[in-house]
Formats: sequence, structure tokens, C-alpha cells
Amino acid sequence: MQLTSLQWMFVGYSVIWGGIILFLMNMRRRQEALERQIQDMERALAGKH
Amino acid sequence: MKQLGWVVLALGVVAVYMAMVWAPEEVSMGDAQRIFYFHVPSAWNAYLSFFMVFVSSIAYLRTGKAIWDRRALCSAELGVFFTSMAIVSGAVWGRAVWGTWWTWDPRLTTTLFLWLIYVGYLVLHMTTTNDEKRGRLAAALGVIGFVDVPIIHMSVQWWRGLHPEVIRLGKMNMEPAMGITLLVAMVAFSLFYFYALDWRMKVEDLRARVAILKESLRV
Repeated sequence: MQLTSLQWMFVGYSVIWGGIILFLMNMRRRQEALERQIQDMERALAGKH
Repeated sequence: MKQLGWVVLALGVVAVYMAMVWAPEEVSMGDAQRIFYFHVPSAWNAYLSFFMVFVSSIAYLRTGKAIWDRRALCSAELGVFFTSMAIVSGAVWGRAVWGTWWTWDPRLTTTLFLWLIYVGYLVLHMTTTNDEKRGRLAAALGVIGFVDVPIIHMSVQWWRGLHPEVIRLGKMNMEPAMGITLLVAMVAFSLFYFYALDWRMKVEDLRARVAILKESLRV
């Protein structure tokens, strides 16, 4: 791959900042899924009692 | 913690500006050297994460309280993430400067070994069902695995390799503007670690709540 030094810099920055954004998005997705699960279970528990 | 998130974001933007515009261009490597300003903080955050795993694992082995096991798990996950970032960004930098993505240099090899240890730690956590056994095994691995961190740091002095030694006993071998830029990026990344750890701990608390509710529904 023939890239200039500046282009390599952008590849490196994309890896780091892209990685951080993906990591945070994944954490948000996990949090929302668990919150939904808790809501559903609490509703099921309320119906049970 | 929301305020900390804004501080991290602001400091991150300042660090990117300083790294891309303010810091002078390195003579031999050109702009590709600017990867260094985020490659080094990624490695630093990996050290910080695994130090937290080490401390939390000792606390778990002494007290047996599940909170320490959970804290170690969350920090190990962050540590694996930051080690991956350091390895991949280093590979890009290596390709630009050395002409190769990977070489079995002592620092690279010991860093890969560190990554494998803590991936093993996460796998152990995912696959062991007995809570107490899992906690003790993971804590033992969390303590033993940390031994690799000082080895990585000293590897450039102990063995000959390609990886440069930029920081030695608190001294930086670079221009002041480069050092200040690195320092700002390190502070931004360190604060980001604490922000992300707090968030990850909240997610883990939610997972614990789900487990309790599942038990309640089963009864």
C-alpha cells in the first residue's frame, strides 16, 4: 500500500478514534438492552404478585 | 460523571488540535509520527487498567467481596480494549515508518502476551459458572498477569529491539512542544479511563440486577 505520511497519520487516528466511538456505542447498546430487560422483568413480577 | 464526560471531550478535542496542528513535524518520520500522541496514551491506559485489575484482585482475595471482582472484570475489559488500540495503532505506525505491520520486537511481543493474558481473563470470567471459584481464579490471574507490565516497560532497556524508548524515568527525549502535547493527550486518556470505568460498572450493576430478577421470576 503506497500512502503518504499524512495519510498514514489519518489511518492511525481513524483506528484510535473510531475504536473509541465503537466501544462507547457498544456500551450504550448493552446498557439500553439491560434496562429494557429489567423493565420487562419488573412488569412480569408485578403481574405475578 | 456527566461533567467528567464533557471535560474528557473538551480535552480530547484540544489534544487532537495540538497533535495535528500545534506540535512540530518530526524530521525523519513526518506526519505519521503524530500517531504517537494517541498510541502512547492508549498503552498508558492499558497499564492503568491492569493496575486497577491487580489492586482489585488483591482486595477480592483478601475480602471475598463480589464488588472487587466486578471492578476487576470491568477494568480488564477496558485494558484489553486499550491494549488492542495500542497494538493496532502501533502496527499502522510501524507500517508507515519501518515498512512492516508487525515484527517480533521484545516490546511488541511482550505487549501481545499481555493482551493474550487478559483475553484469557475475560474468557475465564465468561465460561466459569461457579461464582466463588471464578472470582478466585480470575483474581489469581489478575495478580500474576500484572507481572508482564513492568517487563513490557523495561523490555526496550533489557533487550535490543526496534521500538524506540521515548520516556525513561520521567524524562522525555523530545522537543518541549511534543512533550506538552503528549502530556495533554495522556491526561485526556486517563480521565477517559475513569469515565469509561464508571459507566462500565453501571452496566455491570444492571447485569447483576437482571440476574436477581431472573431468580425472583423463577421462584
